[in-house]
Amino acid sequence: MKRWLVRLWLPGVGIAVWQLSTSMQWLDPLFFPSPMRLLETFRQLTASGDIANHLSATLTRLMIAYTVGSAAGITMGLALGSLAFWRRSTQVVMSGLYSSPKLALLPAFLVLFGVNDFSRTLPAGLSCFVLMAVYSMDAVRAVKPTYVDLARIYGASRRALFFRVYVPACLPSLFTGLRLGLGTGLVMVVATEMLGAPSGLGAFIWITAHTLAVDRMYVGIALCGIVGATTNYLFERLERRMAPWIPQE
Amino acid sequence: MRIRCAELGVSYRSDGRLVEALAGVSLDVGEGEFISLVGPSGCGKTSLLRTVAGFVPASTGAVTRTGDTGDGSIGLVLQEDSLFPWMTAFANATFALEMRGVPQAQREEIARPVFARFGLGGRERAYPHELSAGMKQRVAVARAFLSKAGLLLMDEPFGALDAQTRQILQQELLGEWTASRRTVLFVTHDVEEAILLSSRVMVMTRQPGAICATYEIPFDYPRNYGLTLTDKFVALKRGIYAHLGVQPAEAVIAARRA
Repeated sequence: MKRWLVRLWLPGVGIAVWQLSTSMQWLDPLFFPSPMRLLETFRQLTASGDIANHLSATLTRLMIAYTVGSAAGITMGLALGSLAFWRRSTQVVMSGLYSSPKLALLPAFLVLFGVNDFSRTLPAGLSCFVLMAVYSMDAVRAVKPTYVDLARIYGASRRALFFRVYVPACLPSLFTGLRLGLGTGLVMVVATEMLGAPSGLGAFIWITAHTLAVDRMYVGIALCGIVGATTNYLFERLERRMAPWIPQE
Repeated sequence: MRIRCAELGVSYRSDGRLVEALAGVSLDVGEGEFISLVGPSGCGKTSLLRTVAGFVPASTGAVTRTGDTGDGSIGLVLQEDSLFPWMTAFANATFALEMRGVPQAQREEIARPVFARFGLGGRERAYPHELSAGMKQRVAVARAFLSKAGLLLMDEPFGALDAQTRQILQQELLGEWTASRRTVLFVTHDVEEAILLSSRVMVMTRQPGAICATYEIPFDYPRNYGLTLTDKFVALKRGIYAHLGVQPAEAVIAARRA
């Protein structure tokens, strides 16, 4: 079977069953509008430009939080992975941060930095940062000593050791972390948007739910899902290009 | 390269206990010699190899390397995981050259005949996970010979291969070594392999690891597999087996009584 067909047949069946249950009136159309209805709502929302603004607000926040947070996290993690003293010194704080809900810090950020997009992007950025720091730190420590011995004995300099051994050896874990970070980042951005942001998919979902515009709400939720699935897919492609030695399933 | 180990001792801490891996190992490897270390598992063959490589510091005695050291690097082939999974066969095999700053075009030129001799022609762009176990070891051996290292260390390089592939790789190694005569220190538990390849075979005992016997192998190079069927070969093999067979059993019984 074609690859895309395998990926898409089950969601397709799900949507068909949903459509059937609403046309047969098994589900209350007030709370469960049909997929066709949602498509129509989506078309209207697109035409008015309304949803595009919310989508771009969410994507902008996500991209900023994700790139800055992940880049800082990877740098920190690679450094901590190779410096035992600093790793141990920061261990308590890092593990505390890793397991604490970053969303809980939003009120603090709003108080500290004002009610603006910077404060709202911070929890997502922090989540990506901590996730990538932990993932890349573990990745460095998991590099097989054999590879390091081999590179050294064949004359690798410190620089070559870093770029030709440590970085590529860590890439598979880094990619896993980056993919998870994308999901976590999206969740955090949408969640912060629900807490009083003027724009974004989170705000859109929150407001439409409160005004019982259920079909619009579902369009917002579906868009979040589509953003997640698309970015994940693009990531897989990137991974295959950048790390072709990782055997694919 | 010449290697001299004088009264070498290696010990390390494990679970707070001091483990003596090697004790009083004296060993002299001449320029262009092929030396094999055989012995039961746990006799410190690998420890000795790692100490010579400089990965493990000696607790007593010292290793001195003199003579033609090539570019100062050392070639290393391990039983498995010898290749970097993120590099193609070509990049792996020419890694030492790359580290010395040899440009890509020149590396390709140097590597081509070696790849051909090892039957790797056309697989230059393959990643290790796309190669069979035998192919991977060929790349690892090719890398050792492609480096300008004056000393090649091999730790059971064919230990994980099936019998037939092992025979073929032994032949290839013999051919490559006969042509270049690099100093080789070869660890194996396969007595036949040791005799076939080496100019000298050293037998080790365990607890602590030490060299208990040295056998000069009198056959001229180039050698081939037919050698293993000669009376002289079989006699040598019997001698070494006797050493290996008696030694560990005695040690085990002695340890039980103690």
